Amino acid sequence: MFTSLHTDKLTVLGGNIPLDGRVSWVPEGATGFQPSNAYLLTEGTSRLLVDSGLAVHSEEILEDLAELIGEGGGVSIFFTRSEMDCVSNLEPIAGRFDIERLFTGGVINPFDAFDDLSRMALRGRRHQIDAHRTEEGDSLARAAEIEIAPGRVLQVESPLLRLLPTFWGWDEETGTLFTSDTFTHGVMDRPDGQRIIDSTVEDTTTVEQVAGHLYAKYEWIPRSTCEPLREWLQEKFQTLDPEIIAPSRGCVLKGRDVVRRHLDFMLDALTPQLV
Amino acid sequence: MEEQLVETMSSDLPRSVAKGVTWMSSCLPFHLADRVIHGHNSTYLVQGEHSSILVDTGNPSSWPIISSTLDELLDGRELTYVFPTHPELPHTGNLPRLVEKYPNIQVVGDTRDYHLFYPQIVPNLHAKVPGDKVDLGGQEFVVVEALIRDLPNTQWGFAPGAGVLFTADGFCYMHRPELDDEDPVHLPGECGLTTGELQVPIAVENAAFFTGSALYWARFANDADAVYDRVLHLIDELGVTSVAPTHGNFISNIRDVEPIIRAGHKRAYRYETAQS
Repeated sequence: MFTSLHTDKLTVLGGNIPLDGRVSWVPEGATGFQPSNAYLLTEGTSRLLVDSGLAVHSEEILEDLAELIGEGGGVSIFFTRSEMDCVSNLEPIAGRFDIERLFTGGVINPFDAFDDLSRMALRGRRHQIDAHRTEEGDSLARAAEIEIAPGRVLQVESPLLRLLPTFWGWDEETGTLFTSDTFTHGVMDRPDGQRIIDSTVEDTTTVEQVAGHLYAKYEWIPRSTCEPLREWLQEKFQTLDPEIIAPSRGCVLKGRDVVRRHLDFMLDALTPQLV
Repeated sequence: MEEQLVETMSSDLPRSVAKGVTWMSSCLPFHLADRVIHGHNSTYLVQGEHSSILVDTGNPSSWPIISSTLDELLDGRELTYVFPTHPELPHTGNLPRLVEKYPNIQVVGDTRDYHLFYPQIVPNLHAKVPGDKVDLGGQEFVVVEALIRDLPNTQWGFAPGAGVLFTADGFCYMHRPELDDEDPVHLPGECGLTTGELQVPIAVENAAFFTGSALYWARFANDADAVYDRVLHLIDELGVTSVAPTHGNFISNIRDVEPIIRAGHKRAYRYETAQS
C-alpha cells in the first residue's frame, strides 16, 4: 500500500519486514516491523523510482506501480546502492513496465542479472552516475543531477557516511533527502502501523535505538574517528534544511522538527562515548 | 567500443589450486582508452568423495560459463552445497539459477536476509555459524568468522584438507602500480596465475587505494594491526597455506602478501594527524 508524502510529487511504496532474528542490518534482539521503501518522484508524466524494494514485496510494489503509473507505463529508476534490498525488484519491474533510464554506480550493470535477450534490449539504458570519480573517493558535492522532468532534478551525491558505494539524492522540490541505509532506525510495533514519523505521531525514538541500527550495519563506527562524519552531516543538513528524510528502510521522517530531532540522535550516535 | 555482454573465462582456468579445490574465475574485461584490463570474479569448487561445495556464485552474466564448468568438473553428479560469502551480486547473483539447476542444493552460511532477496529459494536455505562443518567425504568445509568484511552477514570458509581459506572481499587487491583504478584488476594473461607466479609484485600503494575504496571504513578506523594480527592468529590456528579471495589472484604465498596488504590497510586511514 503506497502513501503520498507530497501531493502529485512524492509517494512511498513497499512492504514491511518482520524483525524475527533473520535480518542482519538491525540490532540483535530487535522486534517489530521495519518498512522497506521505494519512492516514486513524479513531475507531470515523468517518473523516477528511487530504489525498487525487496523481492519478497515484489507483488505489492508492482501492483502499486501499476496503479500509480498505469499498466506498462514508463519509469526511470535510480539505485542508491547496488545492494539487494535496493535492486532486487529490477527484473520484475522490467517485465511489466518500460524502464526508460536506469541510474546506478559501480562496475556491475544490474541488467547483467537478466537473460541474454532482455540484457541486450536494456543494457544501453543504464547511466553510470559515478563515471567521474574523485581522486580519493570522497564525498562528491552534488556531483550529478538526474533530470526527473524539465525544471526538476534530483541532485546526487556520494555521502561521506556510507559503507559500500552509496548515493544520496536531494529533491529540492519536496525538500526530501534520500539517505539510503542511514536513518533506518524507525520501526513499527504492528505491520499496519504508521510508517511515517511526523508531528502527529508520538515519537519514542531514543539515541540508543538510532545507534543500535547504525552500528548493526556500520559496525566500525564505535572504533572509528567520527568527527569528520559529524561535521559532514551537520553541514549537509544545515545547507539543505530538509523537510523529509527518506531512507531505504525504516520509517520516513517528516517535518523539520522531526528531522532536526533525528539528526541530533544521529550526531550523538556518531559520538559513541555518549551512547 | 561495443560493451561486452558476458564475462569471459581465461583459458588458464578452471585450475586446480589445492587438493580438491578448483579455482573457477570469470574475468570481467574493462576496455580503457589504451588497453584492456581484467577483474577477477572468482568462484571455487571444493570436492570430496561424495559431495561438493561451491564458494560464491559469480555474477549472473557469467552463468553460462559457470554452469558449463560445473558440468565438466562434476561429471554428471549434482552440486550438493553452495556457500555464498555475502549477499552482493558477484557473490550470490546466481543463487536462483543454481537452485533451478540443482533443486536439492543446500545454501549454507549466514543466510540472514536471503529470504527477503530470494523468496523462491527459502526451502534450500540452511543457516550455519562459525565452527559448523560440512562433510564432503574425505574433505571438510568449515565455516569461519569473517575478520575482514563489509556486510554484517559476511562469512569466510576453510577447507582443512587443502589448507585453503576463502576470504570473500578480504585480501582483494590489485598489484600493478600503473593501473590506477580502484578495482582489483590485472592484465590479460595473468588471470590464472597465483601470487607466487606473478612477475610484478603487489604494491602497497595499490593495496591502500583498493582498501580505502572497497573497505571504505578503513579510512575511519585506525586498527589495521589489530585486524591483521587476528587474521595471522587465525592462519596459524587453522594451518592455512593459501588464501582464495573472490576478487584478485589466488594467494599461494600468504606470509609474503599479508604484510603488504596490512601496510596498505594502514595507509588507507585518513585521520592520523587529526587523531594524534
